[in-house]
Amino acid sequence: MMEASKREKPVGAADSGTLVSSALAALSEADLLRLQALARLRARGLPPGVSWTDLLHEAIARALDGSRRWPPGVPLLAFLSGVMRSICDELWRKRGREADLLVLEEEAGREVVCPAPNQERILAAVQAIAAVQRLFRGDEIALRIMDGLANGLSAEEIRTNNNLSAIEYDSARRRMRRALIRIGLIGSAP
Amino acid sequence: MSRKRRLDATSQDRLALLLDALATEILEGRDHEVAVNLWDLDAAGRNALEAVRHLVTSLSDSPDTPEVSKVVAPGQGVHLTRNC
Repeated sequence: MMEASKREKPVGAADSGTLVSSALAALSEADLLRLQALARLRARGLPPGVSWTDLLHEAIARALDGSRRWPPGVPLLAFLSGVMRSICDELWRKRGREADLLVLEEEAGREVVCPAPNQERILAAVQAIAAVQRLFRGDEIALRIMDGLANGLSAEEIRTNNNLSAIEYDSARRRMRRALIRIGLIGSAP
Repeated sequence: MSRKRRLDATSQDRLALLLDALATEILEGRDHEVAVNLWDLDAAGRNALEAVRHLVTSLSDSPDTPEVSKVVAPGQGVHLTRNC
């Protein structure tokens, strides 16, 4: 990633937004592609009805208005990826609060249809994991690595548990990176 | 390896870990790995990339940056389940 998209000194909200604006304008095509791939990836954890463009739009808006400040030393794309992650969490929490209000109506003796945001989120997570696995369908090593990553294992633990050489592991990760970037370009996997 | 998973809260944690790890892969990918995809870009792909460029720059150029309620909420459907 380009060095120009890193900052070193802390700044205020307005300055942070200005710096983000300049850095966004200077993004290379490769970085734009990475940004698109990140947004499509992060969108897999979103509640139904929210698209990856909504997510990207919102993350950039927050970075520009300074409500999320760009920390010194953090690459711009890593920062925006973190913002998108927190927006996903926020949207699910919002769903939870809406459900609480409906439950309160029920307690007041009204007829109510209850959403189950937690169940909905769990189901969405299961479906998202399955969708990500489909990206690597047919690549058994990549699938094993993904399983390890989803369990929070380190690279060494994944290699040891699956009896993978360093070369096999690194080759699979390169394939995974290419697939993720390609999906960022062409859209969702089947 | 079994791909059978229980439908429980750990799925959320697994997804969070997986997405973080894969996001790191995207961020750490070298320019030449990304460029391979750019070289093969067809018209539709080029248009998609330009759309992202437009989204990024149009927001930067706008004096009024939108808030979450204006951006995310309109597209967010309400999904109700009868389970009580």
